Amino acid sequence: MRLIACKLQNVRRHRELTLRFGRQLTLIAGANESGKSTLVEALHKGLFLRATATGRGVEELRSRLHAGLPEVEISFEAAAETWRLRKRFAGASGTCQLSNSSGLALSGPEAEEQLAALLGYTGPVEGRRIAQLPERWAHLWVRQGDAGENPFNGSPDRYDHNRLVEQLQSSSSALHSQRDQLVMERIQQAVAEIYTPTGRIKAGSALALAQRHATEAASALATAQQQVADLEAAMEQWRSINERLATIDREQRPALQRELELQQQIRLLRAQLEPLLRQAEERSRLEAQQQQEQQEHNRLQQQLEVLLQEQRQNLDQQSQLQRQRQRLSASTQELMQRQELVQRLLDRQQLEADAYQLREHQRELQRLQTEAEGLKQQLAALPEVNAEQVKQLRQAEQALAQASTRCEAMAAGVEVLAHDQPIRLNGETLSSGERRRIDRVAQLQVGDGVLIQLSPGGGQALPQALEEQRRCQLELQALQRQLQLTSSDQADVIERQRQGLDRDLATLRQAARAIPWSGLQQRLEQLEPRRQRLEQAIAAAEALLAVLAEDTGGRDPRTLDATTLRSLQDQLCSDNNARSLELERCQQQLQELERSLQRNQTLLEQQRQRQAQLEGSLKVLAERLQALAEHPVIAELTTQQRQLQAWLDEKERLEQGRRSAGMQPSRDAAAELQTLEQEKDQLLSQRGQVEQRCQSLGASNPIAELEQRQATWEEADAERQRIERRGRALQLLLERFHSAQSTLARRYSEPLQQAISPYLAALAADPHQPLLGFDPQQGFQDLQLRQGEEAFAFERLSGGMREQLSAAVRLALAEVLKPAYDNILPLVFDDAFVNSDRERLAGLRQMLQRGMQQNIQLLLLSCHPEDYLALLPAEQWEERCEEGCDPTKNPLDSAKGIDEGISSVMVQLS
Amino acid sequence: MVSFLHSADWQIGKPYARVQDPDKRARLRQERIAMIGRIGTQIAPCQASFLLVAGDLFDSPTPSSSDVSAVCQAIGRLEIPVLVIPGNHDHGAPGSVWHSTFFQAEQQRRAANLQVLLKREPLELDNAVVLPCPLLRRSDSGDPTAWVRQLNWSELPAGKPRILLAHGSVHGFAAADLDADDDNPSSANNRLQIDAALLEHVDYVALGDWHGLKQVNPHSWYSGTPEPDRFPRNNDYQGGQVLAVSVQRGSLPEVQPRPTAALDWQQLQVSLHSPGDLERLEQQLEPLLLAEPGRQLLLLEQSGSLSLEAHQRYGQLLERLEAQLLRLKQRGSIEQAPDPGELAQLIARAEDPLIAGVAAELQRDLEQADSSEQQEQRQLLQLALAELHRAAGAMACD
Repeated sequence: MRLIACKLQNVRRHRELTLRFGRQLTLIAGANESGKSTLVEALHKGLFLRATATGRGVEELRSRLHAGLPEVEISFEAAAETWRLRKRFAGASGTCQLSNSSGLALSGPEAEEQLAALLGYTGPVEGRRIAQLPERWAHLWVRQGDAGENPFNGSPDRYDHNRLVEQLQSSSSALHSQRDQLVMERIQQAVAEIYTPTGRIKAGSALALAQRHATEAASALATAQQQVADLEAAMEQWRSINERLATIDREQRPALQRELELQQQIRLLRAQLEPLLRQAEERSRLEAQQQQEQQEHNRLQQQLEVLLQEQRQNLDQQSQLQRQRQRLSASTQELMQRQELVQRLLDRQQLEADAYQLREHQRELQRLQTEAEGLKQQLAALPEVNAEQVKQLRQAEQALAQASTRCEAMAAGVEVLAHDQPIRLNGETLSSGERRRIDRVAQLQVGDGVLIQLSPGGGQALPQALEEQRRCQLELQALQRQLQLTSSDQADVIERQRQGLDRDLATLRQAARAIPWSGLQQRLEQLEPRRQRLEQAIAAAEALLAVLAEDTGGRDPRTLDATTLRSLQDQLCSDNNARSLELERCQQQLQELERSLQRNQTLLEQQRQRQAQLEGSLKVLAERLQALAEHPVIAELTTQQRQLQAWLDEKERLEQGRRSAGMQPSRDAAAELQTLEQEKDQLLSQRGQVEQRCQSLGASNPIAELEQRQATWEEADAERQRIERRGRALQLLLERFHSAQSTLARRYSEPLQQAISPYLAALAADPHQPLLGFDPQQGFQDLQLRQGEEAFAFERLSGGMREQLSAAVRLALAEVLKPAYDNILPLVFDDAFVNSDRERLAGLRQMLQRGMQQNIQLLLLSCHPEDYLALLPAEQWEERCEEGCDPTKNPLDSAKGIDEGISSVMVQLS
Repeated sequence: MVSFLHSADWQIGKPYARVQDPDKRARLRQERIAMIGRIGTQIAPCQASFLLVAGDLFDSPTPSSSDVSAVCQAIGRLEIPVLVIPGNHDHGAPGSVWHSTFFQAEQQRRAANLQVLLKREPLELDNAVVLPCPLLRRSDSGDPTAWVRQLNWSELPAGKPRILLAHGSVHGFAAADLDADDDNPSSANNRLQIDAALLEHVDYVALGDWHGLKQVNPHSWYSGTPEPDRFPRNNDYQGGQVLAVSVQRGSLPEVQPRPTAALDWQQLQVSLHSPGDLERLEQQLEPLLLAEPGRQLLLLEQSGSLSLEAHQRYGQLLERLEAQLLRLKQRGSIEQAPDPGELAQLIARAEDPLIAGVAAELQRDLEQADSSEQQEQRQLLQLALAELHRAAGAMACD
């Protein structure tokens, strides 16, 4: 199939676009938005979309710039004919016309169907199935942006799979024959009858049925086995019940009955024996009591003796202590008296000391008064000058001195250092070395011939100073008169004397105040009666004094000083304390002893009482024992006891037998007998039940039933196995078919790989090898590139490499497919190599060149046409197509006459 | 000297469940009851005073009422006392047929001559003493003959021969185990001790349990079943008789087997490897196939391998046998493997590459699969090949 020319009218931005396709190459150049992609889409829709289609597919063709419906005319070669197609997309009223050079002219659906058949399809794409449109010739129509996609992705229909396989088959041996296919389908069908597509057993299949039957049979078999087991168990139970019943009747019941009989006899004999036994018991009880009481009596006697001994010792000790206490008490008394006497002696001494003190005070006071009188007289003899007055005097003297000094300073001085003539001053002769003060105008006469007037300086100041000096002189004299003193120094001495006297006086007064001078005499008098009382008391204690004298080394205690007396006193006091302590201790011991005596006494009384009791009781016991001993002893007691023991032994044996037989070790044979009867009843009722069960279970002959079930199950299981085996065999067969098919399929992937290889070889000096898989069900897949040892999946390649590999694959696909389409196929690349390196350009061109050589009609749309100019021969055709071409130059018409067409064309869209 | 008949293992009521045709099953069962009558025909010639049945008269302890009636009826027709002990199949536990009121009534009604010995105590007859050792439960760990050893022999009548009647295995001969096959699983094994000490006091030991005829020692015999119920295990296995015994106190018994069987249990080993083998087999079986149907049973022990086509033909032969025989039992299998011609049909199909490829591969795998260890795999491959052949053949017919 080869495109010859096309004409678009009112298709998007194209009002009318006419162009002719080169036989090998049509390079369509144009900037962005120049309508390249529109051309690609319009051609595709013209070929594949039904003219009467509505919806998006058609809407997209409509022009907003130009009035009128979109119209696409294409002339092409196919099936050895030149065809002319005209489609007008007017929604439901769209038209399609197809005519060929042999005069065939079709329209409407016929035309559409014929067109589809020429392109390898059964019909055009309907408007409502617009999603199918891109699938048509997807391998030959590379739209902008699709260049990097794997041509084998998606449905195998996208790359004309069936025709491709046909072509590959014709070049190698067949993938499978029709018979192969039919046999495989038959096996597939047989497998599908048994298994689901996921390999599980299909519900309702023969195998499922057989499995169910086998399961049911197995369960029926189990039931039958159970029935047999139940029957056997029931029979066994029945048998064991019978055995048990026999044991009860033959052994256990008689034994228990004998036991009961023995019980009865033992009870009777025991009743007879009881009073005798009671008496014997009483006696031995009394004897025991007697013995016990006797022992207690003896013990008490011993205790009593010990107690009495103890009591006697206590009493001795008591009298000893009492004596000691008396002695100590007397000694304390005497010491007290001595202490008292010493105290009185001390008191008397104190009294005398007090009296002496008082008299001393009286004497001192008198001396002080005398001294004070002397001082007062001295004071009176001195002029009364006080410190103030001394001060005034001193100030007056100083004022006079100051005034004199001033006068001196102001007056001039004359001193005769040597003279040989008399010198007179104011007439007064001056001798050698004499000095004179001149304080007023003076006349100095030296010899006779020399008279000199001297005038002192200062003007009026000197006379004033002289006046001042005189006034001060007067004031001083007045003060001296007043004080009857000549100078301030004298006044100062007197004033100091007066102060010294005053101080002495004050000291005396102070000393006098320290003496308790008031009532001294009175106090002295008061001491007297006390002294007399003391003297009398001391005199009365003449005897004691003598004793005391011994303590003090023979000196009369009345003569002793206070210190000695006091130490004596202390001595006596400590003696007394020691004595008192001793006394107290003695007292305590005595009290304790008394309490002990009291206690012992009580105990003694109690024991004596108990002794008396015991003696009474013993007497009574002896009497009673006597009485019992006199009672006649029953001789047969021993015989009867022996009989009893024999029965008890027998009973014990029977019980033991019961226990060893594993029965409940109840002591009560009667209860056991009852239990046994109950058990027997129970067993009988159980036996009834078992009997019934046996009857019901045995009625259907379960053993025969079991054999039947066993056989049924075996049969069902064998059938299941048979079907299962056949299923597995069929599965295996199908598996083998698939794998054989896969093996054969390689025969398809390999030639396609071989077709791709030369294109990749053209692309690069060091070409990569393509790898491709084929699955009869899934089509071609696993497109990879091998580089060295490593293979890279298409999806892992770079964008540029993807474009190139994809282009190589498409070229190879077109090459393989073209025999089915009159040995030529168009291949559209719309901006298909935008991701490829510039360095690859030369290789890319070589690859495309090879495609052209292989009779592939290339349509290259690019905004960089210069990249592909090298593909055009020197005498290239160049057409500039513009809107509004002359319809008379319709290339569709002119194409008619051209057999081979033009080899290459470059078209510039503007 | 007393003469009597010794029989055992009648197994009345045996269901023959593995025979699928209900009519054939009924026929087999019926034959077991009819066999009682055939025993009866031996009474007069042997001048038998009584008939001993050493256990397993019934196939189960709870046989159907119809079997009970039929058995009582058949026994009642015999004119001598019939002494029976329960065996392991029809043991005498309470609840078993022997205690059932129905059986007891039927016995009184139809078979007054039938005496079931449920007690382990000597039974004195006019001319003999019978020492019955009934099995009172399916499996008894004790020796059922133990009681005999406690007997005070001097209390037994000195002149009358003593006959021990027991059911089970004897030392060195595990009857139950030996007798079992895939149709008849081994039942409980009751061990009997028949030793010299016992034989010193006993003149004849009538044993049951082993379905073939067997002399254990000069005094002890297994009578075998009067109507065989299974295929013979070997050539010595002799079923289908009753023993006519003559014995007197203190001397060896005289024992004579008398045939009672009606059905023909055959066994055939076939090894087929070629269509020729098959043809020969067909010829060999021709008389059987032409005989009166419904009297024979055949165990076919098969081995070998046939071509797909021959295997199909073999299948047809088996179908004919099924129809002819009361029972056809197959043991083993005949493999099916395409012969070279068949293989070539599949493999040499250049025009059908898939069929050819798959067939070649299956055949190769089959040749590689070791015949013994990968039996399962071999079977699968063979089956797959056969299926392929069938599918391809069917296509060829289309």
